Amino acid sequence: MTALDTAGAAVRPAPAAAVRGGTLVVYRWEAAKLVRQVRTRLVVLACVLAPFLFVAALKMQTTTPQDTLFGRWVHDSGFAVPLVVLGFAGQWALPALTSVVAGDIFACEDRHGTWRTILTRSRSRGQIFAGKTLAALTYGVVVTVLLGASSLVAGVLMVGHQPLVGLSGTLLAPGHATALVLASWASVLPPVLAFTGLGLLLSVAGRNGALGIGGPVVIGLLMQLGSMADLPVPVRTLLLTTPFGAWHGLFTDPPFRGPLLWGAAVSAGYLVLCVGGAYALLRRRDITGG
Amino acid sequence: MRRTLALAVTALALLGAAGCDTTGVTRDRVNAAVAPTFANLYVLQQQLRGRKVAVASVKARADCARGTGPNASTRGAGDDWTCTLTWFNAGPAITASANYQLHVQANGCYTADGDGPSDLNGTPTLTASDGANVTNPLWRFDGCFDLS
Amino acid sequence: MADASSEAPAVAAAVEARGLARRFDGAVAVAGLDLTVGPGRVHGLVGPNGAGKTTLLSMLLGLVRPDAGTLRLFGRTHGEHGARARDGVAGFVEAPRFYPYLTGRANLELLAGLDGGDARSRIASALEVSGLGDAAKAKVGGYSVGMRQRLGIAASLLRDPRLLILDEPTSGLDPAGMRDVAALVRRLAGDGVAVLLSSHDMDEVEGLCDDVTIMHAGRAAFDGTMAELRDRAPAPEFLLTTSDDEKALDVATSSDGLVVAREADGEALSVRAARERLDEYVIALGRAGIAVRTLALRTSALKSLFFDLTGGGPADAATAAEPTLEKVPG
Repeated sequence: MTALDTAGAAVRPAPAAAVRGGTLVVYRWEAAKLVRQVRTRLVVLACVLAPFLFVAALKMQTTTPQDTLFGRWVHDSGFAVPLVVLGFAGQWALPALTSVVAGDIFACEDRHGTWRTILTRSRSRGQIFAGKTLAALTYGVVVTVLLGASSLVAGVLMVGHQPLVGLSGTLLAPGHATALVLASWASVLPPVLAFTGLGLLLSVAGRNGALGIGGPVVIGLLMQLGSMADLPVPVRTLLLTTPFGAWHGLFTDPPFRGPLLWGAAVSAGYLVLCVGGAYALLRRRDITGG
Repeated sequence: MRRTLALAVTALALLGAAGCDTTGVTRDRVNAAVAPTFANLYVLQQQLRGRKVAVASVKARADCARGTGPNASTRGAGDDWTCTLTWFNAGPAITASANYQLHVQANGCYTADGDGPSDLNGTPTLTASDGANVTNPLWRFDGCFDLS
Repeated sequence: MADASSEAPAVAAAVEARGLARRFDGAVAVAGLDLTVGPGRVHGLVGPNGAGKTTLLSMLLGLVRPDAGTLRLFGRTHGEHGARARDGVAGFVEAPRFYPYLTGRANLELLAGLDGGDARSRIASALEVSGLGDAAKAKVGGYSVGMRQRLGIAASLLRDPRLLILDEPTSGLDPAGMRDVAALVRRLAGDGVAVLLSSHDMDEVEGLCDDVTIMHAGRAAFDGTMAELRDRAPAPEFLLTTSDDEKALDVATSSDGLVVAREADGEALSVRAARERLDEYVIALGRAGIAVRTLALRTSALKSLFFDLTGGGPADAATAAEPTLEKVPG
């Protein structure tokens, strides 16, 4: 998945004078603040536990999830579990999970009135912005990786590592299935980062945690609704929820990778626009009042 | 800010309306996706029943369409797609056929629901050659295809 | 031109601002203001609410961008030097704000971490000097205004500043706290730190500051040393009640350097006189058989000058025990 790697690396933002070692200080500082928050800890815990609870619930019944790809195979192969989680929760859960942090990381300073406290120390606005952005992006990655890894482990441990029936009816050996599952989860990192950027933009623009946290979820749901209609392909490509389904192409025979590349590119575009917009807003803001 | 948003939504809506006919879901793509999937699953099913079949010898063909008669169409997502699969069963000269009802989604993924013959795709489970009760891979299957 | 304000040729002034201006939504907050603060000087920024003090201090700290003018802190500008312009500069604007769910100490540790360097090692001494004591262990959410002020001062001291910018540092403090702040300011100035503090109370500033800038509607109505301001000050104003106000008025007309008028409510007399003239007047009253019942300082000399310069008059002072600053436009 080299295309994804380079796309992932390219989306890391570097506002002009900010990356000077000072940003790293802010990044570590923000990460320390995040780790201390109850909210973030709960979300991380949920990501690790939920897949296990999900599989346990599945095993208690004989029916299978009908509305998701690979749902019918959850009793037959553990590798279906992470794909069901990805398909079922990917479109709304991942944007929501990353927005918990991204949507509030700037707005919390407005809420506490602490902008004037932290902007009058030894870090520039650019460094503070970059540090917070990187912390939020890191959190989005962590949450995605944890959810994916946990659902894979839950599936393999609780259902087994039987071969998986792919989307073209071919049987995928356990090793191959594992690789494809990991690649699928990796392929949703770009849209997760893009939704993180969206949360950051709303957090800065709205100065309101509710807008930052709820906004990306609502936008994601609206986009999802939109993509249920027969949209022309260029429009569909520009929706940010489309990359969440690009992994389907990995499981067909022969696989098709176009959506993966397009998804990464569109996600990168959204991320750059959102982060750029957020920085532009913060740079020029006058800190007054309250 | 609000005006830009309104403009963007209107543009998208217009594009959507104008693109009524530019969906990525076409008959050719559906046919090309369903046929080999069915063939592979057929091989799998026969394998479960203890019979070895080579994929290359199945040569499955799919004929799918939306609706019938004057209302028939060949494009667009919907749950009214039907497919007739034909393939070579017991030998190069003997063709068999099966029917499926398809729900094709706008994102290029579909679910095929077996619609006869009943011994092929009529039951959700089948008894394997070793006596175990396993999922019948041909009863209902999913697939996806590239829209672009 | 810049060298004229520095103590020694090689040392840049702590603050060097020329022609600063800023509007908000069309209303002028600061207009064409010059400010110079030298090292080791305590500079008072006095003005009624709305005079533009907070906006000016915000511009110094880089929170608000000036529309026009130049601003240098130890020779550095925010535009060219970014965060480095704030090296050695610390302070707060309006009420200091912290994270309410953390303790005072944790907040300081957080800010020290943000600053880097050896800020962390100064936490203990900063807490001691600011007088927070055990309160540092409690969550800031439960702090009183005074405790928050002290924490703000502690947070500023973490940076080992050479320029300290304090916005109304004694507001919310009890008299003991005000004394502590005054002592701290004097000590820092003695160590060569430049202190710029704002206040709306001229009297508070008088005892503490070497230089003063009086602001009114965004402009400097006065800018110079405290000594120069005192020289310009008119006589202080006293409130006098006697056993016979009518006769007291007659006695007054025969003395000069003395302005006596009846108060609006007719209950007392207001006397404007220098100390010597006042003494003579009281003695003259006694000789005339008039007893002095109460004699109290109503408005100090400097306060009078302040009101003159900022458009509020003694008449305003007469309607309240404390000057009502809301009357002043801006």
